[in-house]
Amino acid sequence: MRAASFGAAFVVLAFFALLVADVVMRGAAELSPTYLFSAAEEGGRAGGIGPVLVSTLLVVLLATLFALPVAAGGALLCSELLVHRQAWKSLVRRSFEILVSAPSVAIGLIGWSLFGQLFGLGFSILSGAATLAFMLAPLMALAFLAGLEAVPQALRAQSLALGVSRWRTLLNLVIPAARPALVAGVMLAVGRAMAETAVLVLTSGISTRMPQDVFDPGATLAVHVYHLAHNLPGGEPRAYAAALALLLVSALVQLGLARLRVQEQPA
Amino acid sequence: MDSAIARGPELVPAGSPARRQESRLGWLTVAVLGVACAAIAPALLVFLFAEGFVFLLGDGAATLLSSRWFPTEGVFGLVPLVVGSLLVSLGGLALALPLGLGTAISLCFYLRGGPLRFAEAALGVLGGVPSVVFGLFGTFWFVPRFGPSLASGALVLAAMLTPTLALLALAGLRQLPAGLLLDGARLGLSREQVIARLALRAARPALMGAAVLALARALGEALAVEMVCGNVAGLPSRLTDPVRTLTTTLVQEFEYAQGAHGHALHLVALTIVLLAALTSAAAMRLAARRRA
Repeated sequence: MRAASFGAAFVVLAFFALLVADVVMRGAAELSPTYLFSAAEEGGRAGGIGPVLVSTLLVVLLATLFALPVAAGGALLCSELLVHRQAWKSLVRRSFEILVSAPSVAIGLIGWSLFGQLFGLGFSILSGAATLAFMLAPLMALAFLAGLEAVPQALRAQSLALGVSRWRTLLNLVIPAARPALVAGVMLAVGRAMAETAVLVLTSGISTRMPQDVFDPGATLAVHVYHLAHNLPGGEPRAYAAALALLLVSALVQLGLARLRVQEQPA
Repeated sequence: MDSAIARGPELVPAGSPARRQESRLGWLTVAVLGVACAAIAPALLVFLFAEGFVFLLGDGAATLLSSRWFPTEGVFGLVPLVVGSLLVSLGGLALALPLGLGTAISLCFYLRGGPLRFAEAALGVLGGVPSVVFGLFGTFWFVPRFGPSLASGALVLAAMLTPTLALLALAGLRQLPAGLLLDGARLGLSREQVIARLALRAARPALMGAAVLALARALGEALAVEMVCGNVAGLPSRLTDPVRTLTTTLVQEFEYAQGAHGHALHLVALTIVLLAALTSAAAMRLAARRRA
């Protein structure tokens, strides 16, 4: 048992050491400031990933902005308005959970038919962000809800007993108390958005040209890795460079999340 | 105290009329946005069901059970796609399960201190690696050896699933009451026997839940698999045969699908969603049994 379990752990950790070393070594050969900020040539086989970074920023930012108010509404609906209606509350929560665990490629296909074709947006940053927001909203709502529910009901009751309205209690007391969890929810969504490929290949496309506005297509970093490695013969070295950049960005997001968790604990 | 909270926002006495209006407007916004958020999932499901239903009314419906998927000829057999999805996912799970479980056992029962913290942190980081990176790695390391095939797809999925699976299994093992293991030791069982006969058995619902959750993730993964699995629709007879899954079909065909083909793809999407929902519902059931 001891030998077998150590064997398994060793295989797993060694495999991941190999994976990280592979990406870092092959990626670092290409990764440089010029690579990060110059325009892509030949679909990414030469030149840099400047436009890809711009598209990534636009898609992630817009998707988070679209999803944020909706997610906040969803979480507050559960934690404040339906607080004593368990049946409704668990129904709403179930609706969030279904969407969070739904295969993202299915959401991508719906986004393609709905925004891409029906609304005529084609492959565009706007279509990608809107579709991605479908995925991020329930994810953030669940994270927000966990944070809001961790705020003790007694705190709310004390505020109400002092004659403060429920709305002001929420704004001045509950939301500040839940703040670390709310920020963590947003970061979780940003991390998910950075890593997402299936939704975006179907909606914001694989173009490496600099987007002029949100109606232009634009590949995000993760999509760019996929496209280089899979669709472009000779794109693999550049794919590794883009993958390294992607790993670094997602590591930053993870570090931020870990930081927030540490902050949360003493409270 | 509780009933004061339950009474709802509109009944709470508040100060000036401006404040009251602010509060009313605020709660209204929350309600509207919240209902919109809750409505996303049902709306998307209705959309998929409607599209799938349109396909079932057309001529293509008769070909659904065919073992061939040839959209250009109007043949939409889902069988090879479902079989492909199941084979790749179960293959990935079959590899990930012993590795993940073994890792969890060594982390829970054998490792201490620094190495434990390091291994746990490493698994956490690796669980957050975007799946496309696994696809890239597979393109370079698995495809040259096994070809674009079922085996490569399963290996990529195994790499993707193992860290999360190990962490979930670890959480399950750690939830066991400490007394159980001590009792085992007091009865004279060796550490090996305590793990195999007590811990693994008592934690079985949690471990099964973790496995089923991993299966749901595997079924839904699209691009990492598409990069290495070959994408030929057919029933594979060997591990090195190419396969095509439900998800990879969507990625490959969405752009040029017209008419019946487009509706068929929505039916494919619906099939994935239902498969994944069934497996995660099973996972939740297992988790609920543990709590009871």
